[in-house]
Amino acid sequence: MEKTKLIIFNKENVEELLREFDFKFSLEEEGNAIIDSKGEIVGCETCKVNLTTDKVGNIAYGSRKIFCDNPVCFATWVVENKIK
Amino acid sequence: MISFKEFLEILSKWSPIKINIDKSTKIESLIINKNKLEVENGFITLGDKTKIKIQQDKTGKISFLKDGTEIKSSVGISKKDKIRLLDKEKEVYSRADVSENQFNFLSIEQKHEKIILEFKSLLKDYRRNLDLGSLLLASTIIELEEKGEANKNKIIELNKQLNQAYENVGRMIYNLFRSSILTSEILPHLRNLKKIYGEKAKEKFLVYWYDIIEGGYPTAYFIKHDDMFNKEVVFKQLNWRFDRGTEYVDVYSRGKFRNTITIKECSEYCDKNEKFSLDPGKPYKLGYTEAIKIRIKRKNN
Repeated sequence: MEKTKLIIFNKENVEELLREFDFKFSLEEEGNAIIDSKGEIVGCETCKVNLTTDKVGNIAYGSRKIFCDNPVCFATWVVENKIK
Repeated sequence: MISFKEFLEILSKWSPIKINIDKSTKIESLIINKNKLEVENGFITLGDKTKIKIQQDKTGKISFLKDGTEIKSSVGISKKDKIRLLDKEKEVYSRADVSENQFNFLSIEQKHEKIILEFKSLLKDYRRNLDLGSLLLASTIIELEEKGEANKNKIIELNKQLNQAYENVGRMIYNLFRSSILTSEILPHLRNLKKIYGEKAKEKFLVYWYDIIEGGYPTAYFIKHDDMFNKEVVFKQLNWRFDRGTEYVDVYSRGKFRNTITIKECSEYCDKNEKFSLDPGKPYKLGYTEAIKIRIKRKNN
């Protein structure tokens, strides 16, 4: 498997981290929805469920992909990108 | 002594220091947010026996290595560097409280990796991409099961998440993997399709796979918890398979109590249907639990 480097962040710092990657937030949406640079609500890259800050599990490279915290979603990314 | 999960939580709040590690440097202990961790030959051994190597990253700051995966804290990294690490260095940000499983994903056994790779090209489809993640999650659960009962809580949690995320599909993929049907029957079929149809094998395989995953495996039924209290469901599942003309059905069950009920229900099915006989098989160990495979087959006329 291709090697991976993980940068660990704390749940409390999700918002700050996403702001640094130029994401914005919509307080009108329930649970603080994440908005991308095109002004669209961000969904989990794998399961497509609309994401709120408390559900963010991973941020991966390649157009700054965000995944929810369900392990199946990140596992899918691992198979697609790391198993070759 | 802290566990690996706790270590990750602590790490996520810790601003790493710059150190110079060379052959003459001997680190005896490391204090991370008031937690003193003993270091031996460059490794920290945590309370759950996880071994982590201490190393330096490219900037000279402390980072860690577990099973080939580098880990570092996001604290103390400038915005510019955070962007560079993500976009240019292709590093991945991971939330501390869900990170532990991800290390298992990133270090699965080669034999499992090879199996997933064979399925990858055929299941890489927008309708079935979560199946690939489920295959990896199932491999991780199997590997944890083989390591023993100490991982019981992690296994329960992963199973729960697999079921919640993907309902029966995730469970079915795990069962096919765990029972070896995936490698002994489905994989040979897949290879055969590739040999016969070449690039067109994908469409053929997806139809076959969809049938199995959504409908059930024609010669196997995996007993669920609720089946213990509803034998009619088991009978219906067996009838559905035999009505399709199958010669035998293997009924898989796990856990001593569930196995006893399963044998009882299968015996009752054969008692009611004279055409079928039952081979209860011998109990065997599957990870740290006892399992049985009962074969119900048509009697020869």
